[in-house]
Amino acid sequence: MNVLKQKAAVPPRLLLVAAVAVGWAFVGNNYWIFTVTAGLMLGIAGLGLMTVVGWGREISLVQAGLTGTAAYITGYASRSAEGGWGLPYLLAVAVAVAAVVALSLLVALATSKLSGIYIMVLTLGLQFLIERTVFTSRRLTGGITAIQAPRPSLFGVELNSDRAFYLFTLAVVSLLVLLLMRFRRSRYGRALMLVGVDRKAAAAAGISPRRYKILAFALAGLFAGLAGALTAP
Amino acid sequence: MTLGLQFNGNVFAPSVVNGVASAGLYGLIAVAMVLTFRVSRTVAFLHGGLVLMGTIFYWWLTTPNRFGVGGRPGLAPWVGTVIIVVLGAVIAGVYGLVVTGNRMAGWPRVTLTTFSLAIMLLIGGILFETIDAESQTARTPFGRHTVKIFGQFVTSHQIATLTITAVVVVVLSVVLKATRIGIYIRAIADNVAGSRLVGVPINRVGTGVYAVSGALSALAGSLLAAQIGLDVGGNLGVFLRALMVCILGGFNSLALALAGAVLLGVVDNMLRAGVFGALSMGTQELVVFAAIFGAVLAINRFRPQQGSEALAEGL
Repeated sequence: MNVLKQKAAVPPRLLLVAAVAVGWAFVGNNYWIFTVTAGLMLGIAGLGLMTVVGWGREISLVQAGLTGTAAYITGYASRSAEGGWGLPYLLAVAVAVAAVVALSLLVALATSKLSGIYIMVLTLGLQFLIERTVFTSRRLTGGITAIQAPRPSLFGVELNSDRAFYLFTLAVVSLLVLLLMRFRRSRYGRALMLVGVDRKAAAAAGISPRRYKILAFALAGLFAGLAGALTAP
Repeated sequence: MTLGLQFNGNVFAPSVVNGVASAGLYGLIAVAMVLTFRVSRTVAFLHGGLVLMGTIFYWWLTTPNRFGVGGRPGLAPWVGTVIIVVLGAVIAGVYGLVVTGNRMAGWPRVTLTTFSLAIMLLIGGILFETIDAESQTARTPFGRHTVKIFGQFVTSHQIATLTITAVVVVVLSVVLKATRIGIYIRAIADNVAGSRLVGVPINRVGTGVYAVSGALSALAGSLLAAQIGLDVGGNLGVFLRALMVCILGGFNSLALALAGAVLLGVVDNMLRAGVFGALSMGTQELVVFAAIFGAVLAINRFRPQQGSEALAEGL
């Protein structure tokens, strides 16, 4: 059977995990619901890292910095207090994700002809740079006392409670996992994995390692942006 | 941002002198990183942990208790330095024995690198849990003498650090070029499988190289304790800069690593001294990062590529 034509069926184990995760919203106390929500957000950032490290086989150490940057930008853009822009949440998310994806693309383009240790060290350097510039910006972060961004209301549904926000985050995670599964089985996903396993073989097969590396970094930036955007409120 | 709008010539020469003097620390760590990269083809973040260990544990060993409580031994700085160097060699030697052994040598580089990152965090975690020493400065084994060069006071500690680094680079360069062990190390760096086939004792050489490099990292840590003090962010920042210095030489050349350390030290000190005007910490970091990154791209641009490598890069 042609593997490319196989449908990306959701494994039963994943469905079981999803069912348990939904059930958790109704049996867990507030503290644990909040904690698991934070874990899910980290999971989204981790999924993005997987595309670069797991599939593209390049070590990126800037994912935490990108996630934090997206969180601060979302908070700044969505709050009205402390000089924020007061944008609707979804628009603030779009701004943050666009900024982080642009930063990630910048890394990818600048390092497009480098690989291995170069990318690892340069992304580590960028991580420190972000920590010392973005994370110390009083305007963005609010200084020592962090400013809370408002919880959003989407399509008439209030996400004020920890339980509602947990379910929203869980829905986003599930959607992203399904999309990644589709991507992995697609022509692009397989090409990315070939680039990761053997760049020279990929090049010989007409696949551009440079383009797929840029794609991997863009995806990592997208996931970091979404994780950060969910962290802000 | 006021970058490039000013040039304060009166602080130029002193900042260059201070930059060269402070390059020793970056250089020492960079040399250790290059050495281990040669035998394992991975970046050993273990050295970051050893630098932290050297800094914090050296302070604990050599700083007497002010009020006689707390149980610090208050050893002489020289004794503390020797203990730190031996401890660094033992920890790194054990690590080298494990990662260059038959079981782990075949692991993917990504996995080995992540493993070393985990070890660094583990060492850091143990130290922070057991020793509370933030914002302290340790005594130096080289005294507190100063020399004035081009209007800049340079401490005996800085001169000693730079001298140690230069001697280490010269000795290791000779060892790598002219001894059997050096040939083994170069052979492993070029082709691990081939080296094993011709009888190079990879595990033994790897353990030895890790032990020597671990001793250097721990020594750098102890020197850092007296020069910068115990500031976790600052100490890890020095390690990161040493790491960036290594990539200038492609983790292959000790001389280029040392040259990179001097370049970094000079640029860093020129920015701190305000040669280009008063810049915020963030802007200073940005300029240093851009300088190193630019140098890496420039070196890579002129690096010759052949065959399938050029094809892969060209597509």
